Amino acid sequence: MKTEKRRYILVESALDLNLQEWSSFEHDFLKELLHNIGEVNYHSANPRIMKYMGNRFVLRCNLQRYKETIIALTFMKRVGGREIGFYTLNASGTIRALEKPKTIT
Amino acid sequence: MLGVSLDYYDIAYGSCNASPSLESALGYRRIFLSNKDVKIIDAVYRKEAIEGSITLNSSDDKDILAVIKANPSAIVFKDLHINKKVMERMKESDIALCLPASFITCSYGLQRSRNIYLMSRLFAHAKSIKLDVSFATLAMNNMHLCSYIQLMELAKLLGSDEEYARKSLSKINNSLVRK
Repeated sequence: MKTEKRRYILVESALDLNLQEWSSFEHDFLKELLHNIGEVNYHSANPRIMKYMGNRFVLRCNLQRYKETIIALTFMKRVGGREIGFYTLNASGTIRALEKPKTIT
Repeated sequence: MLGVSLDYYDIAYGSCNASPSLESALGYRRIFLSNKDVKIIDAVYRKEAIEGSITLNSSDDKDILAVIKANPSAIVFKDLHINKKVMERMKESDIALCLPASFITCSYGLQRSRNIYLMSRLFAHAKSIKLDVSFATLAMNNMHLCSYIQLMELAKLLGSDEEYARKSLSKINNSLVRK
């Protein structure tokens, strides 16, 4: 069986993410992502939030739908009725590599 | 291009609160702000103010040829329509065409879809006549800023290749401010 190649994207929210107050964030975020990326692309991108780090989180997606996921994140300006923006800071094949200091090439 | 370190630049309105830490987190060496590093003028023809600035005009503006003569560093076509004669003049005068990402990120639904289509046509024509194209956010607030990764993907969505997107974000964006 062929294993899926994945991409991990480090995303920062322009708004303070208080997850204790905003418990449905993940659901609201993925719902908005579905709206922007489309149902077919969402299915093949298979996005999941893997880890939270303050205002940042790691989003996992399928490598084949990496570009579509980045563009959909750029288009997302409202989640759960709140004005928000998402910056994709880095992307890598492993979560560990995301935590290393970034070098722009 | 891999392995070569490039400095990326973005251009935004002065209302953005782009701190140095945000600039570096987004992958830019610098986010140039209007009224601080660069002038962004909206469709008002004032010859003395235009030189070296980024102007926003309609492609069929009656003053557009006068604007080109006043030597701005870049022009944004607000209506996103192709005007072949004007674009030829811009090429001759070494004036870049600026395609703001905020036109895509600030609109929704069909309007966004239409803007993507018009901007990709504008980019294709500019590239065919070898006119420099600058991709910048021209964001009005922090919500509409993008990281360099996002801006490059938007450039690719409009038909650019990776090499040109990198050149646009580094060399062309920097030259608009230095002009």
